Amino acid sequence: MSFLTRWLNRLRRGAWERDFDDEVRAHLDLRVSDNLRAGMTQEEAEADAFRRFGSVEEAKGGMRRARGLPQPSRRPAFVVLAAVAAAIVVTILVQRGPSYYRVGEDNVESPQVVSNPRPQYTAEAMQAQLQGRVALECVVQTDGVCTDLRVVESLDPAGLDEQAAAALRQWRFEPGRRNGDPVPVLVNVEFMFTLR
Amino acid sequence: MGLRSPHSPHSPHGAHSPHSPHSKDHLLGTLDLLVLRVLVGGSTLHGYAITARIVTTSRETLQVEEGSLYPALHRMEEAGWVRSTWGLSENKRRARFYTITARGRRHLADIEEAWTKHVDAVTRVLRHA
Repeated sequence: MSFLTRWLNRLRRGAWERDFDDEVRAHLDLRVSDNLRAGMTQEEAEADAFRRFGSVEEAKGGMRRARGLPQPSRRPAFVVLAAVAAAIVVTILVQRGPSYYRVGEDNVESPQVVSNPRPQYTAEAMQAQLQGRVALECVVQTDGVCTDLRVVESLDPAGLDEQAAAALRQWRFEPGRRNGDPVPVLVNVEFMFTLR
Repeated sequence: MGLRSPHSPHSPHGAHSPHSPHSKDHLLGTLDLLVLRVLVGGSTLHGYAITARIVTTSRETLQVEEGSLYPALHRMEEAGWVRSTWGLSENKRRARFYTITARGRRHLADIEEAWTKHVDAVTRVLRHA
């Protein structure tokens, strides 16, 4: 392959990559606007848009395959990032714990998220292009604060797991209730770390 | 492929199991069908609008894994079933708009017929077996 062909191919690939990015961005942007219109906060709207979209990298990989373009062997060195914490509180449907309740029995209502600061990306995770999910478990106490945090699904023990835990410690909940009274309730919270 | 039921037991919030073994096989290939059907009305739509049409028209029963729509659209353009042009989205962002082609219409007729036959066959078995 001549230098010129290689160079032209690279240009062509670059144009496609920009197209893919623009297309994905237009989509996410429209979803965020619709979410905002539906009454979500900016954070909720963004998290929901990413959650519904699924993996951006996977979609772009699929588009490259569809166009017969090679997959990048090395990820781009510069990425604008967004740590997106999907505020997914998965309620647990099993039995009652010793010092807390689980949603789904005994008339226990799930705690509701009041404020959900985002986790931070770490420089190392960014450099390694690490993306994915961290699932945590904690007990939401009657004052709306999380205690007894535990990592249920780890992504990056020294880095993003810690960041997720630090964020969750700052989350505030409307406590869960049983027969109308606030009670401690065990919840699962999943954080999605996405680079874009 | 790319479609899931919002109530799949493996995705409590429909969020994190795009690869769940459920709700995949029996919907294989239907994404093309749905996308082409949405476009056949003669409209030129961007991906987000296509997603929204499928979800609303199916009364939210069909949820498109939104990211998976795009590889499908690009594949369909390569196959000559749709063609795309660049335009501006409602948010004034550069977006790709898709239109169905004559070849796409013919393909739609084929897969729509195959789909109907398939559904009829399954329905017959459910009723009479």
